[in-house]
Amino acid sequence: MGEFFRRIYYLLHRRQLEQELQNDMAVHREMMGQKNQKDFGNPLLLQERSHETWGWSWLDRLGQDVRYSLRMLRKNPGFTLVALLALGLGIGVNTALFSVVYGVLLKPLPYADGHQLVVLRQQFSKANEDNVGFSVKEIQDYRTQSHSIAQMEEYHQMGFILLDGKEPQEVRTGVVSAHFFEMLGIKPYRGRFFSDTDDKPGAEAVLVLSYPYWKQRYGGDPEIVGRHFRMNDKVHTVIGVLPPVPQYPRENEVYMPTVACPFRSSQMMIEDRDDHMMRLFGRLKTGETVDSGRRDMGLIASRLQQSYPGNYLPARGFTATADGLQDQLTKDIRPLLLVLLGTAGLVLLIACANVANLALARMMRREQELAVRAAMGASRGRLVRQLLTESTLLSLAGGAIGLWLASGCLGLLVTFAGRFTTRAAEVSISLPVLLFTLLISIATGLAFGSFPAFSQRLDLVSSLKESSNATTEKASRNRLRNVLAVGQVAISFMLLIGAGLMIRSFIRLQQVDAGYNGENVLSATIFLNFSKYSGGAPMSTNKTAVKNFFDRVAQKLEGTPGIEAVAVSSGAPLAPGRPSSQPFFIQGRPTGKNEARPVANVEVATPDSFRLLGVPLISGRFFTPQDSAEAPTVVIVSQGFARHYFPNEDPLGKRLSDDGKDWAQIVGVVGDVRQYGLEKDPVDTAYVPFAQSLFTMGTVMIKTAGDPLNYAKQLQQAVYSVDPEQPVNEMKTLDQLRGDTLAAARLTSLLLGLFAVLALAIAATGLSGVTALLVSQRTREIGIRLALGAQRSQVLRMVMMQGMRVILIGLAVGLGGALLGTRVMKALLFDTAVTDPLTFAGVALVLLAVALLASYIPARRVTRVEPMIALRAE
Amino acid sequence: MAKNEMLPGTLGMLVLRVLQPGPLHGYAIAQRIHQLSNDLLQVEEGSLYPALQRMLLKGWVRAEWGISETNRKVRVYRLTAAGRKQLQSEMSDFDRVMQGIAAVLAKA
Repeated sequence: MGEFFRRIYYLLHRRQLEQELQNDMAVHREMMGQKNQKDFGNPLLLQERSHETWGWSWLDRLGQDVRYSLRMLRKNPGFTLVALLALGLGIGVNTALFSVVYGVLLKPLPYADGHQLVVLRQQFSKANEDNVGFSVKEIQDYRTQSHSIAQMEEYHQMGFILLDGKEPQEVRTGVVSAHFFEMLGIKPYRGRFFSDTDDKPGAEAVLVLSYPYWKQRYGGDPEIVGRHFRMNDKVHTVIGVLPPVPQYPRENEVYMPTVACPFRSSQMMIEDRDDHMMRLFGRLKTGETVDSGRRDMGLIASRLQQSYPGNYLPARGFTATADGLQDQLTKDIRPLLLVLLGTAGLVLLIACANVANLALARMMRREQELAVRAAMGASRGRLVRQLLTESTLLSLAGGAIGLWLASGCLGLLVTFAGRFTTRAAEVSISLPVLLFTLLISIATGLAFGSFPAFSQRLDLVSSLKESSNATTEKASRNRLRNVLAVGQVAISFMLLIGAGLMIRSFIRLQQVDAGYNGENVLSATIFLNFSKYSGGAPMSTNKTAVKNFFDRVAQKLEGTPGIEAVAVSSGAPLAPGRPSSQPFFIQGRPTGKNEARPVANVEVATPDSFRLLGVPLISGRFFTPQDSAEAPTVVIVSQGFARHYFPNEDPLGKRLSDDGKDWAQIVGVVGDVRQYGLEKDPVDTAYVPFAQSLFTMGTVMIKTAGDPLNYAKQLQQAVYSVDPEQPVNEMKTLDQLRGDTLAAARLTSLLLGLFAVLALAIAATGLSGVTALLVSQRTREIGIRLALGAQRSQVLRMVMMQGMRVILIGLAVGLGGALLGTRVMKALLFDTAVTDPLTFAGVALVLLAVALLASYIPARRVTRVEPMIALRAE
Repeated sequence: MAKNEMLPGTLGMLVLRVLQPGPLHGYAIAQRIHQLSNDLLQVEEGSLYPALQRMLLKGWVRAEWGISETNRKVRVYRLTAAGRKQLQSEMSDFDRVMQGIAAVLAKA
């Protein structure tokens, strides 16, 4: 132990101790007397040998190598700059993507034993419903019957209006069972979390605030616990604040226990086995795996099916399953991230090959220098180490640049990832990311450095004899350079194909006719304070009050100059959300006891909805103001619906019902609308008149003359003038909504395109370099050819042909690689084959053109070769 | 050159031994070994200084400032407690090896 510290001491005081040793030896020599002094030997060598016992000579040597390398790099600013740029970009994109991959896919969930957490779901597999929630009754069943899941907690999200004395605000509210946070392993930041007594019927209403909401809305008020807010016509007391951890499954402003949610605590909800509103999470018992949890859930589901055959019709294929929380949270982004990371890896590979090629070219000029050093006694190992030090230094500097680039564009990537997963907020340049960058920097340096380092020959005599512009070079090194160039062409081809497919898929997606015209339409979603607009009981709706509210808002807006039409519907097309799946009956077509009922998405519309959106009427009529709450109930169906259920008959006049008692007549058929995603087929949809529906929310849409965002204020004011306590949720134009659904695809294409262009640029400079070297190597030969009467164009063609070979082989290899590699992209593409011939042909042409240009520019130099000068040049 | 080479590995022990009575500087160590061996052993400077550095690192000797006979400031090396222990064990090891060698030479 003492020795270790002494060694450190020697390291720190090296200079002083060296001097002392030198002094010792000087005295020694002095005392030996004049005649014996030559016996002492080489004092310098002696000193060095003595220093070696300190164990730090490797450091000195490294220092020497580093100093020498820096000098060499500074002497070649062109090479250094190009290499730094290529490496910085290559390492930068990898660092940025790895930080996302680490934060989202690799990092453990920030909860105690996150791998033990599972997401539970039920499925009606034969009805294509694979993520069904749980009803109150079912939650009880699973809780009591499960063997492998220690704890199950429920969750659902609601939008409630919170009144705290400032302007009314709709807050996203997570409604959870008492031990939800305990299951996640979170400790309160302030106050406490819910207890069993808070979740008993009749308990006083309590709230837990999320950390960001507490900070933003209440400025981190330390006295927050104990404050009272009004929500749902009840006073709620704040009992705690969440710590600043990412919230799962969704972000919420506040949390309340299940009894405080008027819907969840209503008698109807508690008794209805079929109302699958809640989501269910669980913590596995220690030692149990996700698989055993899955089997457990499946078993309980089959038992439920036996006990309640009426609720789980065999025709719908009822099952239940469990998935790891982490997998579930990241499954949407995983394939995309892996494709992007793979792409980034290829970009780095190209950068690496490129710099290796540059370094190889430089080696030719350094051959003499190395030969001299070898002649002076440097061992081969020492020379290799010197060259590797140089390349590693270069790649470490590239890594630093890459890190800087990555931290610069991290914000963009986080927004990007945020579209797929709530874990995006956890992305940062953390220690593991820094380690990754360091590691790939060193690996890169060693990789591209070993090409020149190990291809060097130490054939001293011939090296020393050779003049600096040697006309002959070992064929093997030329071949190596060509292989590297072929690799660059091949990889850029693959990347360009990937980007090309993605862009083509994006264009296809953008061109999709969604079945409506959203030009100049502004939408605002309004969730009415249901306690105010309910007919007394929580689950009923005061139809008149709701209708009056929206009627008055519409009237206010219709009078505004510049607003051409106003409509209210259940949701704007392409607004975030999922289609509802409402089972229904068709009159005259009884469904057997074990038969699944037909299912459709139900939307709500006012008389002007279809006209405003430009949805065409196929047959029948639109709704009219006469389709009021008192009038006979009517329904309009989509074209797809009509084709599906009434293939050979006229749907008009047919009757539908959701309960088999009240029947609504089909009065019209309208065009299909891709309401829930451009990439998804239109869903069979039934439209119900707003006046006849039970909705307490509505999306107000206005068609305007000119930019619809100019009318946002009018819309807001119209709502406030009708009900000053009514918040308006985010307003967006239909074009914005459409843009939002395309954003992920656009960003993916952009990123892949960027990578591909980057790769192409790097590869093009690489090709240029190869041809330039070729020309300079063959200057003499070209001079002879010209002197013997060859045409300049002939010589140019000859040089170009040699470059062409590299390009064509590269293309062929790249084609094979692309055919294999693009298969992983299948899931990311919309309506585009992974072997799309147009993309392949187009990309090949672009690459060929760029590659030819890249080799033509240096090749042109042959046309300026002066035979006499070339012949004399030696 | 090969006037009187020492057995490999014994230099350290000899240095420690000549330092036992009191601290000496590098030249004095070499001289002392030379004298005590009746001019039989010659310490190579090329071995002495690396050996001294090693012993400093091991903590067997400590360097202090002293004055040489030529009136120059020079480092003198003093045996430490750890050095004494090391000397003991090296000497007993050496004894055993010598006995073994002697036995073989006598009987073979």
